[in-house]
Amino acid sequence: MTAQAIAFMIVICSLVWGGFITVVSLVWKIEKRKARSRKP
Amino acid sequence: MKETFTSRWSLLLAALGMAVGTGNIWRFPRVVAQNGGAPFLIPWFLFLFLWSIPLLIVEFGMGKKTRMGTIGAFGSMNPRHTWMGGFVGICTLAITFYYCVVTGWCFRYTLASLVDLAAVGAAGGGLWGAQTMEFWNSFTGSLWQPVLFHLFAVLFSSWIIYHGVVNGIERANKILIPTLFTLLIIAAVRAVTLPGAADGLNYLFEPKWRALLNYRVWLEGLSQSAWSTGAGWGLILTYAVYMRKDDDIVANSFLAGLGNNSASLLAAIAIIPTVFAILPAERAISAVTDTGPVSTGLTFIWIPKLFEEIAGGRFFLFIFFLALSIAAMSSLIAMVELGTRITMDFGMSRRKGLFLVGSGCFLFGLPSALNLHFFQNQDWVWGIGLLLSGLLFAATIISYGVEKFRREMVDSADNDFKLGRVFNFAIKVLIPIEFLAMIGWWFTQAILVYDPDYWWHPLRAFSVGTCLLQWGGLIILLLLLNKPIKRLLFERKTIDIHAAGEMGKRVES
Repeated sequence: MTAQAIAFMIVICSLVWGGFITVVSLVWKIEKRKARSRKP
Repeated sequence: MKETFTSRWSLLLAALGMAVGTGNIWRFPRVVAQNGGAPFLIPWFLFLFLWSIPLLIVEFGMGKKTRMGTIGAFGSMNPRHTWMGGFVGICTLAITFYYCVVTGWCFRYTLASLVDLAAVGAAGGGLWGAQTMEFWNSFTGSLWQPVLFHLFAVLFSSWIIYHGVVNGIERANKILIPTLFTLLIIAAVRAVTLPGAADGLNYLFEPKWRALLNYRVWLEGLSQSAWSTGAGWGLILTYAVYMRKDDDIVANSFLAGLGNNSASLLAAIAIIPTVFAILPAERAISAVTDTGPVSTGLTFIWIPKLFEEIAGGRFFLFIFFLALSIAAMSSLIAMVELGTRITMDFGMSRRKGLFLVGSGCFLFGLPSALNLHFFQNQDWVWGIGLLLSGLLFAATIISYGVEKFRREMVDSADNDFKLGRVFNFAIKVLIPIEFLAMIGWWFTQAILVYDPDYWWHPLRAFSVGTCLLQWGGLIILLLLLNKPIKRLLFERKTIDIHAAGEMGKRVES
């Protein structure tokens, strides 16, 4: 693979998969916090 | 009392199931290759935020606010827009009719590859070693096979919907979506580890910046984003009816959109390097971009041929078609639920409504199962119709008041993230401009490329005339019925509320 292709692959995969994983982990944390605050 | 999803994750899996469909595995790799790979990925990613996510937010918001299917939701936002909800609902149902047929094709190919897998070392009698074009022709040319698999797709999705939101939709997606992502990851890992796969990855990711000056790449990126995420179809609106009261809208929309694009990218990485690893570069490009009969060229004609050349091909061919079937099924569930929800809003029970929708799907899908010309016409008319559906969502929010909707539903306390006035700009300015660009582009294609001599003819498969005739007929009918539908939906609801109140008083006394 060319260096340019590798660089572009890293950028686009980070944006798409990285974006997805980041939002999932943020939601995970929020849900965990909400569940903890719901506990008496 | 309506059922609700038991957790936020269940809703998200259902939303992902709705968004990830055959378009991700079937259409995306071909369109990426046709548009030169990397340059296409830039507009495709940008338009996720400029078209799809704002519309997903609108759908989530309308469903959660009104707790009604498309017709009731549009009517609740603005009674004069009830017909628009009818258009959105019928447009998606018209797609459902032939999508059941497509799901049936996926099941047929999964079965054939399973037969091959079970008969390792022997002649399987399925796809393996067969002339794939002849296999396709004999399957679609048969009178009973496409109908039988179409019926199976209708019955299977109806069986899931019959069990309701928690025991049906939620449980099915908890199995289907993790399985689908696992299968796609297995297929992608296999593809990139094939000798020669680097050529395919180069083709997919080599940035050719000059291609970004081509308006076609931008319009194809926008169209793919619009179709693939399911934004503006009314499906997310339907699932949002079953959201819990304090569930978020904004982060959920981002997750559905980004999850959909993640699946598309995985599918492209699974397919394009495989093709380049087996065929010489020039033949690889023509194979990846081959549309074939009803755009099945790459998926149904080339993939079975190519997998014969790799070690463990029978297994990976089965994995590929199983993933395709799961993607089709998870979207079909959402489509059948859309129809069922509408009938339930009119006072039918889930069972009766589902019977009506399931029977409709089978009967109205029959012409597409038996005649590919009819199938192509429906795909053209209602595929473009979805762009109009997206505009109708924006129009309804504009008439309701974008700022009011944003304060009530988008930047409210229930949401984990706030969007601010960017949302207003997206709905008021971006969506209408993008709609005009897309509709102009596809109609220009019809006039100049698909059918230059008869582009106006209402009975041609890919003409502007056939779109205008079918949309026009539907819109006129819905406008005439706007008042009676409104009365049927909302007066019945008022009577129900009144009756419930009376009953409550009796219980109290």
